Amino acid sequence: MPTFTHLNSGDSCEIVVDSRIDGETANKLEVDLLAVIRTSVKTIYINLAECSFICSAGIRVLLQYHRKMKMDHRSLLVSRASAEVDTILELTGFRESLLEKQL
Amino acid sequence: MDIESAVTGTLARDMCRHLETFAASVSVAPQVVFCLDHALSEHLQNLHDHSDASLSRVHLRLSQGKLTITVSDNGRPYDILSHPAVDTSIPILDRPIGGLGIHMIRKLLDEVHYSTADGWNTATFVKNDKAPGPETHRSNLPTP
Repeated sequence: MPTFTHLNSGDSCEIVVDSRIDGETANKLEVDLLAVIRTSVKTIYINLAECSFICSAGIRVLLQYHRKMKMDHRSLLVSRASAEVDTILELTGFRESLLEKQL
Repeated sequence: MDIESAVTGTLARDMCRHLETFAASVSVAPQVVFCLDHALSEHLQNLHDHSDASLSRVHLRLSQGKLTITVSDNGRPYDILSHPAVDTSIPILDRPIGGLGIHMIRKLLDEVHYSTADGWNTATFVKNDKAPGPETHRSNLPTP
């Protein structure tokens, strides 16, 4: 089971995923997200720059907790995406909403 | 390449490894592997989660520039082509959360077929080795 790195900075936390997100890994990501959401962070970033595969279960986890954070007036965004993840976000129609706008 | 396996929680991951090995042996473009990898994984995960199948048979074939994956299973039939299309234009907060896996299968492949006979369901996935890949905002995702 992969371990995700958590980088805390002020009132934000970045979770770095450097493995495939398949069904099993999506469950692990959800557990990590729930733990971070219970803290007082205002923004959660998911760094997928080194993630070459994301299945629909992984997308559902991102979508579900993006919505939850939004309802709590907080935010969850993908801070960086590999080309593969970028393609899947575009294909599923979530790229515009989930991917952090780069300045 | 033919592989018969019990339908378990690790089937999708195991079969994707077989696909990558096969694709490397026949020099298929990375973009084609990317598409089939996702489609195969989604389908096998659905079999495990929803079909009650105990056995799957996967056949991989490259012929006339097309990589074809045939997946047979002995579970409950579910025609993936009958699933309603996902409307990706609906705002993120209003979108239904289901159906994404089948949506990805349809969008990533050039052909999808499904049939049922003699207690076995067969899904056939075809990707043209020379077909353009899915739309992307990145230029570094290889396009065959």
